[in-house]
Amino acid sequence: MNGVAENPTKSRQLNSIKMSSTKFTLELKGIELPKSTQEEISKALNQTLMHKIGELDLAPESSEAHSNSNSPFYLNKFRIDGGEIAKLLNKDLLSQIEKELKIPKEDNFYIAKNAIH
Amino acid sequence: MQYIKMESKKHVCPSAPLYEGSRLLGIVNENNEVSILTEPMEIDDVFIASASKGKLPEQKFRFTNKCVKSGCKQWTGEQCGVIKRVLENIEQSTIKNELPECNIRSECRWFDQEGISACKVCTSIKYINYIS
Repeated sequence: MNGVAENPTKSRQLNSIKMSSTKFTLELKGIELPKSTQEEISKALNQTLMHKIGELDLAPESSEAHSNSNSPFYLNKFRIDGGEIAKLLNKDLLSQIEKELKIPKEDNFYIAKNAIH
Repeated sequence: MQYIKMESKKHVCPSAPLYEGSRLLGIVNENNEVSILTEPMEIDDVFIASASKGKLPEQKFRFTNKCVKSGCKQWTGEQCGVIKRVLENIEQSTIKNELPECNIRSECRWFDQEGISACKVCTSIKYINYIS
């Protein structure tokens, strides 16, 4: 593990910006629709776009916890606030730690980081 | 007489949970990194409904919302603990040379705190608050 030791006051120059985009265009050639109909269709298309973007799930499956196995161990590869951790976690141990430290379930990823990492 | 240090500039959190006022900042891609939108996208109930199916929305997307400072458990008292911790611990190979085109820098808490070092690791950061 290596830290990044850039001085923030000296490193604000943005000289290498990555640009990429996805474009959707739709043009109906040969017909002219009333403005109200155009707005209606435009609204419907936007709704569909929001719906489809919301449905996106591009993250690889390996980033998910595999907790369905009968084994007490599972491999969980994920990023905790940027620090990638791939550990073989013992579910029983984890729940014991939770119990001992009286830390709520929703905070257990910190336990994973601090106690097992 | 005590003086309280006032921070006039409003900051946004570049990795907020999905709640009222959140805007879509990025999409987790096939490489398990985040593709940052140049301009955060306003989201609506249609998006929230479809994003809430399956995995948690925060596992698939990144959201931006106002930085709530002491209202967030990541706030150390003076700054955001997330980006500091990431920069101290992230694998060198994960750091990017190319920066995402991003329009929230002028108000970004992480950028204000760490400069472009924050941008170089930003796409590696995912908000996860739950594992099972």
